[in-house]
Amino acid sequence: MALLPFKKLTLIAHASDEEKILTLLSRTGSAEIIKTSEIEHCAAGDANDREEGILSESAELAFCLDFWRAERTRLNKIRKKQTEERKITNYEPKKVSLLDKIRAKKPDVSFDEFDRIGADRSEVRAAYKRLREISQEESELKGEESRNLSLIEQLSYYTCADIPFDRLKGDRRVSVSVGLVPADLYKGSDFADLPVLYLQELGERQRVVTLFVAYPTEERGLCEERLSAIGFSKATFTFPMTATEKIAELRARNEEIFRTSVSLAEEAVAIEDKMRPQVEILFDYCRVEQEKCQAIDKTFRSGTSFVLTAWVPAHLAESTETALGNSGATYYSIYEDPKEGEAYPTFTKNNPVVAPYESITNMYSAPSPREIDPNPFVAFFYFVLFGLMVSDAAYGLILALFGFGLYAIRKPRKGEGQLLLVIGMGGVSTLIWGIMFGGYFGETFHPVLFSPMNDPMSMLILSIGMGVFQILFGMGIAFVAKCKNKKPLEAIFGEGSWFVLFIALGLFVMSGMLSGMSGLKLPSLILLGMGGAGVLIGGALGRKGLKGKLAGAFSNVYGVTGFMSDILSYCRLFGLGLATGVVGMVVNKIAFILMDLIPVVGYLLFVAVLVVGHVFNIAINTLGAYVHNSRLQYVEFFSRFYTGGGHIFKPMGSNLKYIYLSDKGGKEL
Amino acid sequence: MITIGTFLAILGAALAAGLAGIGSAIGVGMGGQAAAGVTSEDPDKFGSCLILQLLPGTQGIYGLLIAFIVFIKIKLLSGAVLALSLAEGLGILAGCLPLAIVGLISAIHQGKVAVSGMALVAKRPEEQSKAIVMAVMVETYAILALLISFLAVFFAIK
Repeated sequence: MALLPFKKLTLIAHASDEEKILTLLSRTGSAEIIKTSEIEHCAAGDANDREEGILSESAELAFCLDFWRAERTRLNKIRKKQTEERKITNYEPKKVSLLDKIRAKKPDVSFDEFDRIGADRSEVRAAYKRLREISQEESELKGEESRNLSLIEQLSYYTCADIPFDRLKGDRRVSVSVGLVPADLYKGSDFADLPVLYLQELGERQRVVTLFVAYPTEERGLCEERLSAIGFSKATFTFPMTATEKIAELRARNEEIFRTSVSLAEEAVAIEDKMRPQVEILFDYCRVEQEKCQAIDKTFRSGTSFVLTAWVPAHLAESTETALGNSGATYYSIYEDPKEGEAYPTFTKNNPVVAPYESITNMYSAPSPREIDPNPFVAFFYFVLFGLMVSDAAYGLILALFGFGLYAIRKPRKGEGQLLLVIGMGGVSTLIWGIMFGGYFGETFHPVLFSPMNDPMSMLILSIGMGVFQILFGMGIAFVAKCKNKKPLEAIFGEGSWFVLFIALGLFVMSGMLSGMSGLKLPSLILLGMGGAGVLIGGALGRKGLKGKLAGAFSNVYGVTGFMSDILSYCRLFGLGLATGVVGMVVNKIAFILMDLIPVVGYLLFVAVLVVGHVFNIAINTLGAYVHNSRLQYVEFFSRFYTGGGHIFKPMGSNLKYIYLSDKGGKEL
Repeated sequence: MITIGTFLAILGAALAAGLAGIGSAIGVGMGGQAAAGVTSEDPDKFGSCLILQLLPGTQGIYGLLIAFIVFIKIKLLSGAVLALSLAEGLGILAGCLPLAIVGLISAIHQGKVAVSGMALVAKRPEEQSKAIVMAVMVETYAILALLISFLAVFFAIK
């Protein structure tokens, strides 16, 4: 239940063993490589060229994965649109049952397989090459298809001319042609003065007139000039077909293109079925290789040897050393404790109940290595406050079943699925508080404590009380931490005087309210004065100069308003706790009203409204509890004692995207 | 029989549910537009964006809560609605106002913070919790208004 200590490993080895050592360290999962401090007459490692090669290979693999996804999406769309008569593809997307979807996780890959695929990339390379070709071919086909489409669009103006275009040539004496002219210009024109020009209107489409034109070849200049004045443009097609025939041919060609591209997509998907696991493994192989390059960049080296520095969790130091020893590499290693003030990674180890709440703390900021681990406290308060906000026993049972059930079905790997456990435990807390408040699906039934709906003042006092408790608890932690760090003065005049102040305030209020305790009035006032003085001194501590001390003292007094607003912030427990009950009640009311209003169908509506309404209520309140609970920890609780700012231990070789690398047969490190 | 006082109480409930609901609708609406933008770039961020989008939705629920408390108090749902005096009705109406006004405005502002939060999530997905906390800060004031409205409505009439 704490933050684990680290050792700093400095390793000096022969350059020829570098690859071996890096591979080993990327598998033990016990070393986070850091920059080695500069050494005289040595140069920093440089693996930029190697890294560039790996990056370009990664990009190729990423292309394969993206391309497959795009092709699958396309095939799926086509499959949905196709009819029985016009069958285009036999593609069927893989059916994955809901159970398998829940269980889906990264596949296990052994070191041997990892190495085998990393060493022999010929198959993956071949697949990549073929996919590139397919992609190229598809884009060419796509280009041809769109060219054809625009040609069809042009030709559709000429379907009214049933004459093959190659016959529209004319001869020495007569020129003939067809062409298009804007209808507006054509209709207003008059060619009466040019009797040699023969015009015939073949058809009109979208305000464009298709014209057949004939004139003596020797009058060509004059005729063409007049025609171009009204915007006539001659068709330049020369193929031996009519427009209708050509359109049919182009359509047939496009259909052929479509089918070819579908079969190409099918081929790509077939390659995926065969190659995907390998590509994914190789992708992660590249990631590990890249990490190695980054590790090399952090070393210092002479011609024949190199120095590598890494943080190793103390409990893994021995096994790491054994693995290095067994590797047969020539090396020399030193394990040192971190120096005073030297930052090292954070490795939290908590019991299974507390561990899931690490994800909540880490979302704010991981603890810095020399701090108190806040996770046990966060776990306790998060658990208690979660139930208080949802506050319905039936909802709690459902949440617990949902969270733990899904976790049990999913069987996530160690360290995953923490959110499910947080929800499951929140469900347990909700169940307990629900029984206390007697809330069951929005109805009240024999509360053990009180019902928030009927006795809101008690609920308010409970909420505020929770806030006071958590904030004082946080200050208590700070007090202990300061004492541990040998800063007792800061502890006494910081948190200590606030405690005195609060106790005195409590006594003073009590002495005023309870007649038997009126004798406490004077002592409580004295205590109040002492606490106040302590707070003033606490503010002045560590400040320089009279002005600074005064300013510090008074800014500390101003902290009172901070306490007030922080404590009031716990009203959200009251608001959210009540909201669950009220919304649940509204749902029930609507359901009953519908059942009474409408005969027969009303019963169906009754059930539908209840199910949908309560599911909605659970969802919205769980979200609210999750979000507001986090806020109370982050803002109100952490501000008392916690700074965070650590970075979580990330050993070399842990940056995998698609697979889970382990050697079940081999030694577990 | 509905008196002017009862009418005013119902008006208060309507304002609480209506105005806070409008605020939430605007806030969630703004969030939805931004969420769609972020999701179009990266569909994996849908979950993170959805949480941010839903945050300004709570004010509407608080409005519903207050309206419902008013209905219970004046026995509207049980059929025998109370005949409130003018002063009692005004009292309930006044009690509803904090949540109606603060709910309306805070939900809109929370929506704006949620939209900015989505921009943050789009660039740095790991900072999602900070985006959430920033948006939740705004809600504090809606909760304080809820507290005051609740106490006022609950204790305004016997």
